[in-house]
Amino acid sequence: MIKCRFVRPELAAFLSGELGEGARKKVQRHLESCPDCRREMSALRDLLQDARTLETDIEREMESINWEVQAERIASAAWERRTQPETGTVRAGFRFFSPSWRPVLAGVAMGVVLGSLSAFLILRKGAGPRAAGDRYFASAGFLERVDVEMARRDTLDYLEKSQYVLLDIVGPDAGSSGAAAGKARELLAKKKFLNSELDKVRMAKAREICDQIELLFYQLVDISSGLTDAQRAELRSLVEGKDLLLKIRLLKKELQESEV
Amino acid sequence: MSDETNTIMNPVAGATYSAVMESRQVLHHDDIIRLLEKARSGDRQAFKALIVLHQQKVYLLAYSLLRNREDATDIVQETFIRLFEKLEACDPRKNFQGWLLQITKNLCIDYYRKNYGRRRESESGRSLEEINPAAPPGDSSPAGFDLRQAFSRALDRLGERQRLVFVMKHYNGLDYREIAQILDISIGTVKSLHFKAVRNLRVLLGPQLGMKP
Repeated sequence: MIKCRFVRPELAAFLSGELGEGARKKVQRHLESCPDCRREMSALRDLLQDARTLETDIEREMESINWEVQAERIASAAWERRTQPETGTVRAGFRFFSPSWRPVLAGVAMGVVLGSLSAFLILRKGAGPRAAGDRYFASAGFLERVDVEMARRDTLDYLEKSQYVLLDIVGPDAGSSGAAAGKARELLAKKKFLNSELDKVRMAKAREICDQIELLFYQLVDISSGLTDAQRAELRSLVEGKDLLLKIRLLKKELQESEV
Repeated sequence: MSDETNTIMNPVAGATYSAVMESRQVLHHDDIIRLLEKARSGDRQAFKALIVLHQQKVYLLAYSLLRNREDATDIVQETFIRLFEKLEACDPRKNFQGWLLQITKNLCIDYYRKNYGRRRESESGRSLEEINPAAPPGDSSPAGFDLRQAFSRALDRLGERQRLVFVMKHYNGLDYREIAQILDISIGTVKSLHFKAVRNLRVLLGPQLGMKP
């Protein structure tokens, strides 16, 4: 036999005659043997009987209406609404949201969306100057290549200028030692900034030569008050002893060829 | 009005509440299709025949839900005007009456939500517990009126779908299948909503009706 908790939800349908034959019989059998469910069903039946009290109002209402007049009134109202634009009492006018204008509205809406999107993309790419807070992103490999290239160019510049200074001192057409000492000071200052770039592995060879040039320039600066022939000969022997000018030329050539 | 249209209209033209409740078998599907086609082609009498045939059912649903004559009349008129506007879209193969009552139900729900929720609360200062329902149904004495009012207020307290199902089942004579079609839900859901409506009414009215919980 089915249990009470399955029967209770069926009672409203049972009392309203909405249960199928099989379900109705099952509920009937359960009710015959279950006083609790019988009591429940009896209470619901009383409730539904009491609910019929509202039918009195409804019945009175239904009988008090002249349906023929009502139907005529509704038909007239509907017809009046249909013929209203034709009689001209209300001008049909320009109805922008009428169905015939929908494709135009859709086109305009699409245009606005596409236009806004294009403007956004153009402005985002930055036709004007970038804001100060803008950040750039690049790969580590790219940044490394940029660093090496910067170091290469700075080193070349340093070697070029050093070469002129050295030729000025030890070359066959040696000029004023004072002017050479001034340029040597500038190059010594530049060498301090160049050191960080020369620390890179690829610049190790250049570093060695640049360091030798730097030592030479220190000596030159120390005796900048005026070079005696002996001092000039000593410097020349140092430069020539280390083949410094040759090394500079070779290094310059190498650096020029290894352009990134 | 043509003879054919007259013949179709006559069976329920002057229907009472009981006649409307039992009129389900009177309306033939083919007759409705013919009237719809004529109304579509601009036949005013055919459209009026559709109104005559269905206005009581529509009014019954509207009045059962709103329990106010003027509001129900407005709903009936609006229902048929909507029908008139949608004549071209009306599919004659589908259940016409169900479709019409669906429009009515939607209008009633909108109307109820807009106007009734607060109005019913403010109209009666008395709570459900204060109403004495201990009078026989149909009694015209003040106590009898209270029973109707108690039911009316209890129905207002039900959930929207429970109220719709209970009203359609008990005051409009519709079966579960028809209610399911109008509410666009399954028959199982209608059954469940009906059970919940009855159970909740019992909880709301039980103490006044002297029922044990």
